[in-house]
Amino acid sequence: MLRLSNVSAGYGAVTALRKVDISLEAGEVVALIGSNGAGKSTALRTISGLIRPTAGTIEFQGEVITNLSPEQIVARGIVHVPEGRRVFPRLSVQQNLTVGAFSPRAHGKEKATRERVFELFPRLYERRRQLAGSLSGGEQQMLAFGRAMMAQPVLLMLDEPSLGLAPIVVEEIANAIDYFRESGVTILLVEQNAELALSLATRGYVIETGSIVLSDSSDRLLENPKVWASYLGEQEWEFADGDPAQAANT
Amino acid sequence: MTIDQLVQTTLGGLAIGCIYSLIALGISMIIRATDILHFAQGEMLMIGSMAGLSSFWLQGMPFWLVLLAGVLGGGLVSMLVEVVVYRTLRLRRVSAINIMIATLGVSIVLQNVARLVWGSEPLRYPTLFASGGVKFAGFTVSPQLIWIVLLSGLIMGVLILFFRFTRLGIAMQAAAQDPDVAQLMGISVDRTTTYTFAISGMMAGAAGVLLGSLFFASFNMGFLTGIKAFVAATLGGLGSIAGAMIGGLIFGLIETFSGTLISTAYKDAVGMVVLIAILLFMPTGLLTRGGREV
Repeated sequence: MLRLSNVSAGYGAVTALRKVDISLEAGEVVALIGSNGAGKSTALRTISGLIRPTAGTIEFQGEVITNLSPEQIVARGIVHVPEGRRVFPRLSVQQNLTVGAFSPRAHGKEKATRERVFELFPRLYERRRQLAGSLSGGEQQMLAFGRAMMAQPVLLMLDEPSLGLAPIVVEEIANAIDYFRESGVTILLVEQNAELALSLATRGYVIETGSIVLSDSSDRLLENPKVWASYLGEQEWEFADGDPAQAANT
Repeated sequence: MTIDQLVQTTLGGLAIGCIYSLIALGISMIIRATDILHFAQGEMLMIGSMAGLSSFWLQGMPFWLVLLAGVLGGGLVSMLVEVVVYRTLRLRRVSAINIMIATLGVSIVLQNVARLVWGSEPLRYPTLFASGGVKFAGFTVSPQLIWIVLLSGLIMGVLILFFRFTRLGIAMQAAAQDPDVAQLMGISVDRTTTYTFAISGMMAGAAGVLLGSLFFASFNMGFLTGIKAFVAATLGGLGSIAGAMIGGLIFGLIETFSGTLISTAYKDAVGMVVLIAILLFMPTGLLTRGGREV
């Protein structure tokens, strides 16, 4: 349903993506893993139209969307939850959800979807009149998910949903991703936490300095010694002394 | 100062303060949405005033239609300069400070166009309200001032409801708070910015008709008034909606009382002293804002 062929993109003179090929089938959950600055977020920003690719084509459900504006892309059902949650801090929880349903494809279902969001995240219902900026990190992530639900996604792109959250919250995120998968939404999941990403996804791509270097099923990626060394062992170092760079050198 | 004078001065200060509030609101909305200080905001007031007056000359329209013409005139011109000038500059990645200088240019151009069209002499506004005094709580007051306060309050109330409850109003706030993410939700930030300018211009246009009905309309009426509205917005906390309303009222009262108590000749100077004092002692104003937003 989504196919990136030979896509390159960058910021000004800096190339952040080099000839990337990624494809997703309907209903799949696919992980895109890589270290900081490898180009994961750039890939998502390019798909959602925030950055224009410098080369290559992006197709969605058989239609070329390479040069469409972000609004036109959202209108086709591609919903991007950006890194760091990015809820609108000075809008209430309820107003944030309203913004999520701004795209015309989502207007009609706004009320029904809002009820589903509140069912899935009762915490948001309790705080519906509070400003989103006053919520905890975990609650803001739930709101970011709820806001994405409001947009009626066909393809959901999640950028680092677990970043900076407590393990308990991470579990709730996994539940929310399960919910989306069960309702037939295709998911492209970007994570630095490769173990979490690969446990949720069936397939994964590994990206390094802007290029896809590996593509395989999650099970095989989890067993791959290279992946293990670069992206899975890292977690332990981070917990061990908080400085992965130094740990990597020893 | 007698009690009667006190009441008259207070009402006069509130009325002129409401006019400052209407312009200051636009300045604050624009700064939240674009980080640009719009120096031509006062000219939208002048255009509104002239458009209202012209509609009266043409058709002898009733007051509410004159007001509507002012609102439309201010809104259209504001929208036009945004689309033609500021958006083009933004697309060319011109820095905010240079766009601000362009707004000063727009201000001067609009003043000169107005001088060509409507002449350089102040134009007398028709009596838009019943002229006799009305009794209010035992005092005889000018109905004009009461109308200005009521109408401005109504306009600001509608604005608050618009931002709180309508889909578009909420989307405009979202676009001002985080333009990138707003785009990901399907909001066209170019469009919401244009709406921000349109609404700001409409409020300034309404203020122009109200101010014209108090004094005169002239091509340069917006310049000093715009600067005073900027002082009002700074007083309330630049970029804060509630701050712009309160700042306008307080500034109107300070100015009117200093005019009565000291001398009307120094009225404008007092306003600028207030600006310097705010910047020295209270640089963030009465109500501060946290980041960009509408």
